[in-house]
Amino acid sequence: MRALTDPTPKIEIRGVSKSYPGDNSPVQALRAVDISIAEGEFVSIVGPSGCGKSTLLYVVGGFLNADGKVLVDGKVIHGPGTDRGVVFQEYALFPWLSVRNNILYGLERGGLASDERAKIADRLIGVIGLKGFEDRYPRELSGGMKQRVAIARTLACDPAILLLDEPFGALDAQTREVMQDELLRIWLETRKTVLMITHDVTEAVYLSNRICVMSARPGQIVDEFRIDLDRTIPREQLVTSDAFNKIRNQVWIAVRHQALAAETANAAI
Amino acid sequence: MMEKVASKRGLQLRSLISVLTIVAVWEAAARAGLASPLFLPAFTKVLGEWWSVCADGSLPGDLFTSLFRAAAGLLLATSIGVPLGIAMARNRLLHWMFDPVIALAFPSPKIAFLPIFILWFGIYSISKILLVAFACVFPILIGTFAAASALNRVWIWSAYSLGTSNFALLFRIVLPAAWPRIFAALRVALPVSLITTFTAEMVGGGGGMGATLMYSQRFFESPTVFAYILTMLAVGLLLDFIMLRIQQAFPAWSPGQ
Repeated sequence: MRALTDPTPKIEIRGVSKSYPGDNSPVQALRAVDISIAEGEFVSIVGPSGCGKSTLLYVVGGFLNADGKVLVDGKVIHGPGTDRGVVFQEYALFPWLSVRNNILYGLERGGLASDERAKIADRLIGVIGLKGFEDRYPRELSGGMKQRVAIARTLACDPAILLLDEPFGALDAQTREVMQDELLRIWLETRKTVLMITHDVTEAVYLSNRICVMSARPGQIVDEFRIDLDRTIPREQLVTSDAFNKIRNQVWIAVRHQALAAETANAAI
Repeated sequence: MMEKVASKRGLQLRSLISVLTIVAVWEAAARAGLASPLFLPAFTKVLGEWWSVCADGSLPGDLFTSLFRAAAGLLLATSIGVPLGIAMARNRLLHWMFDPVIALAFPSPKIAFLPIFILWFGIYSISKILLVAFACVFPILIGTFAAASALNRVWIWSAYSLGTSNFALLFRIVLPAAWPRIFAALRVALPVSLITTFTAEMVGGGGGMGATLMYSQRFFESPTVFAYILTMLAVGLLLDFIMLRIQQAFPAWSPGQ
């Protein structure tokens, strides 16, 4: 509830537009996107595939330059920073490092003593339930385990903001639900500010405080939904409740409109 | 797994039979007098000669000279090729500058430069080492450049958001990520270093395996010639085997991770 009293949003995306050089003319990926995210808020961006939602996350991460501004704590960002931890869809773990060394990677710069670093790594390995796998390499892990390690590696640096780029998109349906529950638990404990990109409407409704719907390319925010659901009740109860399904259907229809509009636009070309 | 082991044994056995057959035919042909001993000394004769040039220290001395030149040249090529390959992958200007030079020099016969190298650097080790480096730098440079150009951008982005500086990125991400393919390029360059050393010594003299081989040929000491050739074959095989074993000992080093 700090959002109501704190005038400075944690993240402010102001008029962000992004074009890529195309074959004939530049392709516009994002057009004038404005989003404000309060501290501790969990915001998801959903939209048809190829609408530029990942591009927006990369701009906020500081990996891509774009027109417009991104502010964190009221200051314009100029590139990546440890205040914004990122979890990518897949292939982000360093394959030449073991699970433990992947998690330790970001800690080796922070001026912590080695036993303190080891303590943090041990705790996180416990949190993600990978005790006994510390010395394995990423190629020896399942997709779900890899994403757990990727999340732990990001959490190790204790960033104030988590940027999640379809973090569970490459996982099977069952593993995805387990991971969503873990993410929800971690968020409830730490109350970090989260910006998540997803194409899974149910996932967005289950996890977020707010959902922004993005249009097909050029991506702009066309709809916004506030979600006020009780996160402390068990998943089965929540997901089968009328309140959950009402909002889920609203979001789903909004996304579907955008996907259909994209289809028609493509057919017209 | 059992089948794999069995087929590996089978392969080793087949290789052994193949080599033994060639040696047996060789020995039989020489003993039957099908060719003059000057052209084809018997294998056992070559073996005896090999033993005596080993015992008098001449072959080990030549081998040491040649291996030193090959190793020094390879080391020099690595210390130029790896940093330059990474720099070219990370810097467009360097890429523009060096790409045409590499395209021109890579397919050229390096041994053709030996006369110039001898003129500039003399007939002993320095000209040989530099020629070996010249021959080896291209496969290493091209392999490193390809590896460092194809890095997963998500690794680089992750590293930056985990607080890695531009300088640290080089040692913590770029080098380890490119290492499997750099090592593969080194494995390609190793035989090139041996071939170049032996050839340069044969053409330019100045001691070493190649020089003694040519010298012995001039005096019709055919068993010595064959003993040296067999030693060259064995050294190449052994060194490549060692490189393969190193690669296998570190699974993370295998390309395609």
